Amino acid sequence: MTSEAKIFTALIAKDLKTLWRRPTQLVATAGFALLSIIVASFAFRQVGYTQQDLIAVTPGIVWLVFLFAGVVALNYSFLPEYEDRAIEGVLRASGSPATVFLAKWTSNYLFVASVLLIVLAAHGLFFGVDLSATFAVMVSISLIVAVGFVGLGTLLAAVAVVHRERELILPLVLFPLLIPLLAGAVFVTRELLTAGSVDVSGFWFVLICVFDVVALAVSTVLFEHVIAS
Amino acid sequence: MAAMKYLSVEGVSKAFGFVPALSNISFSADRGETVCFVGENGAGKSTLLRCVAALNRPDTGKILISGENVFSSAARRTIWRQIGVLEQEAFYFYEDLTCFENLELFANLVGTDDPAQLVLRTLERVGLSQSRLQSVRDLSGGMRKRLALGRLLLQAPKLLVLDEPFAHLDDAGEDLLLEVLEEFRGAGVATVFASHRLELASRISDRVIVLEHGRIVDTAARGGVSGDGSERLIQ
Repeated sequence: MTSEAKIFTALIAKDLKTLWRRPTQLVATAGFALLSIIVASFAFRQVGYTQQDLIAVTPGIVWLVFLFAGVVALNYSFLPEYEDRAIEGVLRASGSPATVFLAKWTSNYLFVASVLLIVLAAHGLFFGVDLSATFAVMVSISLIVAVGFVGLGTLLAAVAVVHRERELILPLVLFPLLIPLLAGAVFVTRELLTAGSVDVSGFWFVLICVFDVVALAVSTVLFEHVIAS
Repeated sequence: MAAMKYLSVEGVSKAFGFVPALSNISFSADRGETVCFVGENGAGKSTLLRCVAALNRPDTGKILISGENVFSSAARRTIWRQIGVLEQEAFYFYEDLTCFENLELFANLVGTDDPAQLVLRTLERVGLSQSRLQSVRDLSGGMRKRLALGRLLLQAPKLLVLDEPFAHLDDAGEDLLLEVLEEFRGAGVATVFASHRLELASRISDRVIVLEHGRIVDTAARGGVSGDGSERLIQ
């Protein structure tokens, strides 16, 4: 195993241990996602929306809940790094900011992807919308969207964590930057639910992919400068 | 032309807002040399050490290690790994991980072979083998400092930057620290530290530099401090 791979593996193992020993992040994020879906189901399903109406609002609800729950997850992700300034020791010892960032991105991605699955499952349960025919594609789209979301979110969470008002700062800075990604996610999801398939050469899908690549690359490069300053 | 010292600090100044913390500080340290900064609270010791450790960027002046500016991009990947830091307030540990896990992570990051065995030996050395499965969150200040000392042993740095290293340590911990510092000195490690303990500082240092209001007011070689600055300090 190369030294970079060893560092990468050690950092992910550290994140998983930290997550396991301090379940606040898991409970807060999953709880928030579930509650949001339940509240939304009351707002739409209980007031007499038809199946067609519910399918029409599904993309917006799923991605809004994911957006807010994802921010809750990202807000927590850098707390253990900040408490005893542990990130400082990691950066100095590894000498590889890009590896440190990519390890944090991977941990956050795994976590956020799990949250996405919870959102999709909860949506199916509480909205009574049958997504079984398109579920696999829906999950794939979600996992692709999460790449850019977590890329940009991880970078900005590293910036926000040093501020006392971190819970406010992260969404205020992150949400405007995510508009192209979320617009793409909503349009592609709507296309999937109405047409039953997604045109991978279509504008919105290509936009999502380009956003992912740019967000991850730029965040990896900027992380070193953000942390250094 | 004189050969360049391993650590060279040239004309460093720093202010926080309009309050000057450091004014035109210059000094150097060679391999195996120990330099101590003494001074009252607010004299600028911690700020200076944070600059030397590349934790704070000075407003003016240069800090060079082996001739390389510590704030350059290249230094982040090479020089920073050579600097062992022990701060007063932060020890760079993950609070939810155990002593063993923290050191094991660190050993993996610095690329140690067989980290588990080395970490166990290191914990034994710093007197924490009984606490190896204890979470860092539950450690006292002195135990955290011992663990941080263990991390420095694993790191094998070329420059040590220590801020009040003797604070929170009991007698045994102090003896351990002195022993480790002597070992590092024997291995050619340059050490820069700050302390309120003037007698101890002058005993273990090759040079003692007195800081007052962010300025160097006196410098003395091993064995004692003389001059106005030290007199003011002792009073």
